[in-house]
Amino acid sequence: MDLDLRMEVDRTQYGFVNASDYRYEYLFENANDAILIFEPSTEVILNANEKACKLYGFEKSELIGISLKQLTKNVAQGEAEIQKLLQHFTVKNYETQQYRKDGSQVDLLINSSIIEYEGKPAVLSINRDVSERKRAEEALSKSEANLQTIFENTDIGYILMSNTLLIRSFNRPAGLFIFRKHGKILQKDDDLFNYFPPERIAGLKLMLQSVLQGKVMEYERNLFKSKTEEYWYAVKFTPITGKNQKITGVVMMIENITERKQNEIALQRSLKEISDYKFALDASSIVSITNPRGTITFVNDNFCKISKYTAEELLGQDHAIINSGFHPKSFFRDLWNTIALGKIWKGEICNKAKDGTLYWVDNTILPFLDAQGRPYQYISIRNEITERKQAEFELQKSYNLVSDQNKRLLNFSYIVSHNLRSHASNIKTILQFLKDADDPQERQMMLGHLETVADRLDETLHNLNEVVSIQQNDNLQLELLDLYTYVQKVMELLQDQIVAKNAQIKSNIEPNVQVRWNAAYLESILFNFISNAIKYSHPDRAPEVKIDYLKHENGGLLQIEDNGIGIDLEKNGDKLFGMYKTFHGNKDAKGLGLFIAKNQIEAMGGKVEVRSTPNVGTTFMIYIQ
Amino acid sequence: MEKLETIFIVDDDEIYQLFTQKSILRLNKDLSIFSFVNGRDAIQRLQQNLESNQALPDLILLDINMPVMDGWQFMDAYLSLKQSIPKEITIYIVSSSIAPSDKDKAASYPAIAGFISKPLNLEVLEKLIHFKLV
Repeated sequence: MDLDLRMEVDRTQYGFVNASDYRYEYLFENANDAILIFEPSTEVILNANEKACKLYGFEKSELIGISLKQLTKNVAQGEAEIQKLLQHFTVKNYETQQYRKDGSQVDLLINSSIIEYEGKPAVLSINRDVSERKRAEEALSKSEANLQTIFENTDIGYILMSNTLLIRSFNRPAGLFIFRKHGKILQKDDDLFNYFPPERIAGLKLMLQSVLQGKVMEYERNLFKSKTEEYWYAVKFTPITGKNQKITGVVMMIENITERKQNEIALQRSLKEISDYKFALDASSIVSITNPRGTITFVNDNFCKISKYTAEELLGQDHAIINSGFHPKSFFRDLWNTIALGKIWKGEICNKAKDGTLYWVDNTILPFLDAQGRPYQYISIRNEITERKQAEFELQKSYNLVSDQNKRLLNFSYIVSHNLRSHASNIKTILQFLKDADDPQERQMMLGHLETVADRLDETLHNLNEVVSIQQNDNLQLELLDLYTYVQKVMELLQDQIVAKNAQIKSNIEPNVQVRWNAAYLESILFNFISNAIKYSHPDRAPEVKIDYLKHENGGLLQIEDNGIGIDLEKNGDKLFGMYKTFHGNKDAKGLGLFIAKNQIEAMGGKVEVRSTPNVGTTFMIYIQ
Repeated sequence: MEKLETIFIVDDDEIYQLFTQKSILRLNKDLSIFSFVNGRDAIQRLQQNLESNQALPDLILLDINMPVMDGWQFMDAYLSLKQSIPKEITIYIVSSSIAPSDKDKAASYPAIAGFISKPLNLEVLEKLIHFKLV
């Protein structure tokens, strides 16, 4: 219908249309567009169709009679158009804005002609509402502008080229890129190759050949702005495919990737640093990693070397595989409690290698924490300190030995003092009485007492001398001695006592058992213990003495067991080996034998222990190194 | 204070015993003096005479180092017996020892009145039998 009307209207170019024409009437009312007829000078509306009433929002009766000027935004322009119309009879596609009854604006596309209406010339105006199209157009141009803004303001340079590689367009960033280096400013319709140094053309051509075959090609390059400042960029060529899959052009994208590249380099450097650290750690330390349950997930070569296990034997095993048993359970409980809280644990641990040898390590265990702060694995870094530990133990041993010796020496000095003082005070007392004695017989008696004290003093000095000689003996001669021979020899020496007491001496020592000892001390020790065993026999039974030699750790154990009266160790245990200690009221007891024997044993690096039950018997255990 | 009548000398050195006895008798020939060579004999005598006030000592001179039962063991036995002893007994340690450990140990017994280092001369003895020694 719209088209029909236009065809009709076009005919007006050749003359007036008579408004009374029946076709005109029909078209006027049924047209899709709004149609107005108005007087050219006053612009008073003479007639309007249904569509026009709808467009302007008036009743037909209201619309007829008012001047169009009241509805026109730009009245002068409207009048100018009417003047044009009067000269040319027709005006096509004139765009303007008018107002509706409610005051809102409407965009119109107007085609108008001069007609004869009721005998007078009038303007026939066909008005099409193009408001929506206008809005769409505006939006489009706005978004185009936005796109252009984005295109211009991006950091990425774009160059659009024809398929002959002539530059068709580019954005501002593209112009700012690498080309400045060659003193050239990027220009349209120029050959891309003009912007590259000669040595790069061949490679670039090869690359672009591939692009023109439909491939996307890219590369990254660095330039040095100065000696230290490096500049990186990435280039990407993308083919533009038109209709029929034909390559119509190429897009070149250039991006400054200096920051990304620097980050990459920094990352690579820190990765390298980490691997260097790991290398240093592996080279210097014993390293293992376990999961939170203590299962080994990593061991380094040093770990395998010191533990004498292979990595295969260790991985998947509990870390307790190298537990030496040296530390109490609470030690490891504390360790695990510490690291489970995400804290670092440090300490010295004694571990056991596969072959059973023990080694000491200085240990640092670090928990690796997840995002929630919970340990997801533990790394254990150790250094071997076995030698230092051994030195420490040796030092402790020497210290204990020295402090023991010191204690013994002090004790000995009190013994010496006590023994000498008791004689001295007796002499002093006797002399006092001697001075006061008038009776020659009494004097004689005093002198007799003095003589007794002198003898005892002499004996005491002799005993002290013997003890001192044992304690002083640094260069004690040790030699391999046949234990059997010495036991036999002592038994011969004690033959009289054995016979007198009807004692049974049962030696289980076989010939050729060798001990590394001092000959004189061995004889003295055997003599002391065996004679004691016979001397302190039980009154109800004949003495039985059993002598055994057993292997013990790195040395031997000489055991002398009797069935004598025994000793109450609870009462006398601490005094048993003391000087001048006697327990049984035996007249011959001088309290020196065990004291001397103990000193002799200790002088050779051994020790002596005792087990005894009163009325049952006593066993002395002599440990020999 | 009761009059000093009976003294026990507990010491395994018979020369010391002999001359101490002589010295005491020189100072007061009316005193009864009993000597024991170890703690056990002295304790036995105490046990046997719990009823007889006369035989119980007023003063004990006690040595430390003795066989069978030494001075400390005697003290432990004495303390367990003390409840049944009807008499107040003054005990002095008389020893040749100069070891601080022995002096400290003596001081730790409230029942021990003091520690006397040998020789026990007449001056000291005189104070002792007049109960003047602190």
